[in-house]
Amino acid sequence: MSNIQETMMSGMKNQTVFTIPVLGGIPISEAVLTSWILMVLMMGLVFLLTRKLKPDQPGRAQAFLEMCVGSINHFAQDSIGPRWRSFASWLGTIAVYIAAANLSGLLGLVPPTKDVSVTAGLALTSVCLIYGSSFRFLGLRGGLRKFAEPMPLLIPINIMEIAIRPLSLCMRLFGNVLGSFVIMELIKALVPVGVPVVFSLYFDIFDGLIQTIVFVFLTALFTGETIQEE
Amino acid sequence: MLNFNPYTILFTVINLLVLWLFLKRFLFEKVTAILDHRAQAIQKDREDAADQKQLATQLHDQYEQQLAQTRQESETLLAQSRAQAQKEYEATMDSARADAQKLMETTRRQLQAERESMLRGVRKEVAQLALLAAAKVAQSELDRKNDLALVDSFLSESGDPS
Repeated sequence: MSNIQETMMSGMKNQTVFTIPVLGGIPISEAVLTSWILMVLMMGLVFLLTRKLKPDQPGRAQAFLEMCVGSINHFAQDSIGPRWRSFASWLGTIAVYIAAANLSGLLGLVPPTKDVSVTAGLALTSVCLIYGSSFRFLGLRGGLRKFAEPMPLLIPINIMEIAIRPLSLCMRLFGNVLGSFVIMELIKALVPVGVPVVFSLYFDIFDGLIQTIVFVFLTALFTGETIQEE
Repeated sequence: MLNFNPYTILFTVINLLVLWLFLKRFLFEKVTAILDHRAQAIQKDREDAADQKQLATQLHDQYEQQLAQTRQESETLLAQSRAQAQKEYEATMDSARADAQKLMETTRRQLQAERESMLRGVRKEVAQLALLAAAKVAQSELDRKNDLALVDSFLSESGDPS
């Protein structure tokens, strides 16, 4: 019993892998290290795949990339509207990053998104994007007026949303991934062979992709809503 | 568990920005450019096809019209030539008929004339014969002139010369 409890507790902890000895020591957590590994993998893959793009006869890899980028562009178009071009690449980037992070458990890595600091960073960028684009496209006056919609009575709620939106994004992703991770650790501790694979299909792949979609979808939805002009 | 590590947050934001710049430069912009390029090419092809179709329809109409015009012209021409031929045929027929008529007329007149002259000859012969016979009968030479008139009148009375 204490063994299981120990597994759970260690699963919830965020390890510091090493410390960069400058400015009084900068701790590099496991999540950041895993993110770097994933980023290097993704960048290498993208660099290799997009080296030779032909506009007329796409190969299989190019067709796959076109499908992915095309669907992200479509999604951005649908949820944001005519200004989708400024946002599609960012939405695509966080989608790729969160998907890779959530699925990294399959590679035997610890998913970075199980660290609440990582999801907080993601949520922070999202909220900057949401409100930043509102002021960028509607101007200071238009951005401020957005807080009085649909009626001035809701101003306090709209202001609270500045904090609530990133918090919910952050906690939802973090909670889901941490929960899956801990459950998978427990299952692996109980039955080491065979059974974890079946559960991994749900907890790692299905839930991981669903959470990716939810995060990106909500970010796009909020952004589209705040830059919408009357 | 819920301890926010400011360094991790900072690194995550930096990671995302780096990844974003990389993917934007090497994936999204490149592929979107290709997709846009293709969409434009398709749009252009489509417009070209529509233009050509319109042109083809126009040409088709034009040819149809020309064909109809030509057919009409040829019909007119044919009718004209047919009428001309008919006219010429009739004219020829008429002239032929007239010629035949004339020929027949001439022939008849000649025949008539010949017959009359023959009759006149015959009558003269008969009169001389009769005179000769009468002279022989009377054994005397009569006054030729008076007697010839006498015989002539006799012959006229005795029957129709024709």
